[in-house]
Amino acid sequence: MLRDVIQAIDYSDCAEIALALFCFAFFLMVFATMRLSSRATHRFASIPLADTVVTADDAAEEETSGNE
Amino acid sequence: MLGLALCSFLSPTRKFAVAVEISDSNSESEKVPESLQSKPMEVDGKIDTFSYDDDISRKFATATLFWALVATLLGLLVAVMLVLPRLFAGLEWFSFGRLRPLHTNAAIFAFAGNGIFAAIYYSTQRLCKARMWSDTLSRLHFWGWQLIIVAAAATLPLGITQSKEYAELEWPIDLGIAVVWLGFFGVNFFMTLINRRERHMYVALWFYIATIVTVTVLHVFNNLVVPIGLAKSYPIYAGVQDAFMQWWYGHNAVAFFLTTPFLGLMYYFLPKAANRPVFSYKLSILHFWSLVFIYIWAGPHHLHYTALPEWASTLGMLFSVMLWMPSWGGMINGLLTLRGAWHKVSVDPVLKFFVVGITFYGMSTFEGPMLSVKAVNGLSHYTDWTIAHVHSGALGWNGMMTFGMLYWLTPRLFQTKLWSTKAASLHFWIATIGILLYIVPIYVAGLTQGLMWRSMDETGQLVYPDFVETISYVAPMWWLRVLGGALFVGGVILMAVNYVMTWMTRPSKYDVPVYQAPKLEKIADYKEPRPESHLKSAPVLDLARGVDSWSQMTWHRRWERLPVRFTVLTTLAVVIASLFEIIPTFLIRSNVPTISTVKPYTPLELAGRDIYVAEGCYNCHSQMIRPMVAETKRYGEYSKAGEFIYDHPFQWGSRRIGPDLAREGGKQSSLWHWRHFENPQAINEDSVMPPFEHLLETAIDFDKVTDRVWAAQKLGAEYDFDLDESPELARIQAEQIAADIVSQGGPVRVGEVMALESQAVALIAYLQRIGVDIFAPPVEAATDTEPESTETPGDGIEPADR
Repeated sequence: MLRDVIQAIDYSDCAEIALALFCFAFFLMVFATMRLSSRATHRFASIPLADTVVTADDAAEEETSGNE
Repeated sequence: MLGLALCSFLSPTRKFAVAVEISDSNSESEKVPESLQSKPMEVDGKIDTFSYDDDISRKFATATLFWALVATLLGLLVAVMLVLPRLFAGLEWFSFGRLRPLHTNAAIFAFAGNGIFAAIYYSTQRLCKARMWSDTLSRLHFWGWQLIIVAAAATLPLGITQSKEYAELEWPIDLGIAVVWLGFFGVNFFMTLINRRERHMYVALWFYIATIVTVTVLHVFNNLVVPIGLAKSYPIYAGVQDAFMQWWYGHNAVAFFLTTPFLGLMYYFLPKAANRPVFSYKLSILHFWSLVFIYIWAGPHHLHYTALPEWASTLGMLFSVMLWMPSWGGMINGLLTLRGAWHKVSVDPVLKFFVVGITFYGMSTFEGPMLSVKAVNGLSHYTDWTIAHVHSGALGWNGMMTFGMLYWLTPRLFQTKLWSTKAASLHFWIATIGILLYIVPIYVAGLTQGLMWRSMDETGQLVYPDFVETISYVAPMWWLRVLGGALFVGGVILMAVNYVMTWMTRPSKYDVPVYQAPKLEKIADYKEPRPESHLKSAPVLDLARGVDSWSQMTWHRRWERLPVRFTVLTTLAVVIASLFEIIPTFLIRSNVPTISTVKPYTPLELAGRDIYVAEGCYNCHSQMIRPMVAETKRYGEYSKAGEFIYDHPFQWGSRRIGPDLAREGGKQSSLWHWRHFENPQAINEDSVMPPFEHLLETAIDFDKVTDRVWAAQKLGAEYDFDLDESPELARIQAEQIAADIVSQGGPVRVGEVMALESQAVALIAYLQRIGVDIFAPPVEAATDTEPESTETPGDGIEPADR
């Protein structure tokens, strides 16, 4: 009986079901993302900038601008 | 999977302290004792002292550059082979069919792969404020990966291949990839995440997580095979299912090997180079989840108008078109990160590379969805348009981003100044012009091919009935491609010089900066309360208050702190999307209607098919006639799904540098094929097929035929003879074909090898079999039971005009 059921299903509906699933999840995500505070997002975005490494080029540049 | 299980075991429900105070302190020229270098040390009970492992980043960066040279030189070589097909006449290891896969593997796994690892090792440590969990695993990963690349370089030119695009490597190397990718790299990465000192996982890390888990899933399921030796195996899938699995893998290899890790790279190195935070963190959340979920469905857009069921093709098109959205989210985020810093682009070659790289990403991810539309794909499929698209992405996005990253990393890793900023800028211009000189002529070539193939006159006849005419027309474009490729290679050589000269000015001993940061506590002192709704006092339903609390996204912020949960959710998104397409493809018999006259290959034909696979014939010849008038006019009856049920692996191909072979059986005499292998240009002077003289001079190993038949039986083929009879049956068929060749004026022997023993005869046997079964007279029913759903000749299918 299970085989009959599986064979009887119209699998071209897969595309529509998948689209509906995606749209539902996407709009939820958009709504929730828009509610994030700007303080939080600013803090997260700054993470990679928190470990500035001074290179020889930077040091030379600093020395030049210091002399000016 | 082992790595994920290990991570789950170690940290099922860890709660972390609310805030992490980080203080960096660089000790000047302090020599860090070895005992401190691999593990952090607790000082004052709370503060760890640690250093980053930059040696592994140096190794991967150097490997990236080395393989960039190799991959681009190989690309130039195969481009030259197309315009000078007799350049390596007689050398079987130097044919386009054998070397093109080496080029693609070198570009993707050697060049881009090492670049990804350089990026991940450098950025992950800094984003986690933790050294890599295991220095040993880092080095095992590095050397293991290089060994895999060397194994590819050794096996592919020898014709040891699975003939599945970007998954050509045979099963022993595939096992090695699984061990290195998951066992060394994956475990090391996830344990570093778990032991991090930065609570929040920055967006780049999400992309790395998605890369690792998805590539694992793709690699394992596309490479399930039945081996018959160390150097040969057959996929468990056949025909339609194999095609589906291959392009589910193939497109997602592009997605999760060439896109997500490079987006992660972009999210770290672009802000660093521009000294600006990413434009929109919210956009990064949105486009990450959209990308991960949508990309998985896109595979079938490689199979429009083929024998793949139409529902799958439509699904692939739909999601491919939607994919434009999250891809441009990444592009926009990248380009707008430079707001207020555009003046730096004109003086900093790193930013130049990044800007052009991201722009090419935007162009490719707009073009890709357009090419996925069936109507457009009907013109572009099998043409050079696909190649132009691939190289716009590979050279433009992957190449330029990698170069930009390497130019930023080099002075930092070697703790010196870049040898020449001018050379870096010159490289930028050479690379950009090289890419344009590559892709523009190839776009022209692709459009020319597509339009010429489908061109019909007012009487309904093909305007260009001779396939080779299209080759003659596009050959000048291929010469321009060689020029563009040569320029791109020149840029890589310039970069290598700059890199080596910079390395030579490195200090005698590298500084190892020491950092201090508090360890994240295993158990938090308090539990984060559920956020209060802003509608607490408002006269609204509880549901509204619940939605408002939920929409503050503290749940997502929790995920961003929990690497294991984040990984599991990413994996679920990928797996669910995959199953939606895979389950119906495999379970529904009506997807592949049975054709009663389609029979398994004979022993000799199996041997010949394996030669077809080994020589990489699929790189130039397709075996899939689409249901379009111009195609059926040119090649014959369009291909049906049921014809390929014994094809392990499928050989539908994705290019037509030579004509389609799906109805080749019986079109030409055996002698014609013999002469064609010997010297294609003698048959057709404009042909770009290389000679395959070695097939005429090399004997078949008839004893190995038994293993092939055994594997075919294992995979569902039914034979009415004993396995032991296979070699004799193969010899009998070979004698018949050789007799035909000799009677038509061909040679009895070539050198020491008799024609009836040659590999050429086996290949001819296979070619003469392709596409003829559906025209065979129907077999009279021997039982009372009718097959469930069948098509037989007499249902309107007539043999094509010869």
